[in-house]
Amino acid sequence: MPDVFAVRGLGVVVDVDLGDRLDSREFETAWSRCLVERTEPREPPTPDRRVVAPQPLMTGTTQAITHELIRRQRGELLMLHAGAVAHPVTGATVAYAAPGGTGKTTLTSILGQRFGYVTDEAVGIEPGTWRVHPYPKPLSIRTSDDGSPKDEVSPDALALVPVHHAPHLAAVLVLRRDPGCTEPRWTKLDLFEAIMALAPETSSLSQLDRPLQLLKTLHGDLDGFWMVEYAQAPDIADRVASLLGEPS
Amino acid sequence: MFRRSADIRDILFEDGECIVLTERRCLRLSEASSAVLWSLEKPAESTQVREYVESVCGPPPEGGFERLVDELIAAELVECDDMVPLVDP
Repeated sequence: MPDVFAVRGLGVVVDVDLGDRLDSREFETAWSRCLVERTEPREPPTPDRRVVAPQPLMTGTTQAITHELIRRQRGELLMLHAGAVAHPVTGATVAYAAPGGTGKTTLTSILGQRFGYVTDEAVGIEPGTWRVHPYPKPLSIRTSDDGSPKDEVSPDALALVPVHHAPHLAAVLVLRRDPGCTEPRWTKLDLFEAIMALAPETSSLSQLDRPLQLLKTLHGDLDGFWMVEYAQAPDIADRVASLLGEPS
Repeated sequence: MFRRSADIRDILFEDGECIVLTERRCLRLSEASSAVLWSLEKPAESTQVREYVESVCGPPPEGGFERLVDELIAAELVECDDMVPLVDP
């Protein structure tokens, strides 16, 4: 059993050293959708290809992997703090951006029963082509409000649909969770509203070539972004699904 | 001589307003502030900037232009060769 795993996400592969505190089998189960068979000899780490160092908890390991993947794709991909699912036949993908703890994972676990699971945390988008690079990590599920670590749950354990081989971005939502919201509100954002709402939910936006022009082009190509204010994820799941068309 | 800050990574102008992206911030600016940044596509003297802003927004109130420029300097969106504030604090 190797203690260093290769994990693919956001279009790159990183090596992850589990050390001796985490259970390898538990890691393999949780990361089943991202693990890469390593048959070739492993290259030594370089400043640009760091090995993710051992962490005491699975939650910390997930955060370290995500951080390293994002670091590696800085300046290459438009990266959103977002969950996403893709139509299993067409690959059309909806990304829903939101700050942590505001419902991305819950919405993903609902939509992922019908649509391919892309990610619950970070969406990597190729500038111009809008090809989506999946990151089907374990879902980080909060089990209590007492500040204890989240559970890292395999998408297989939740029976989430595997992702399409070539997903592409078809819709962008910005989620705003408001427990007092009795009816979900969907608002089409104009260009400047859209950029101001989405920019805080990006990683390393300023490292891209002409990033604001890129967001303008994306906004035009997708016919705008939506702001969705809601209380509970089930309230909006069907309408989000309708953006992709029902899977046959 | 004024110029756009080197911290600015991108600017998007649309309908007389603009959004500015720096390393750490994304800001939506007023029409007058946008006019200042538009006029600074290349470094320019204060009088050139003022003339352009007035042509777009009309004459500012007394001291308004100076305050506007000082605010943009304080926000690190505009740099000035002589960093002494135009208005006494």
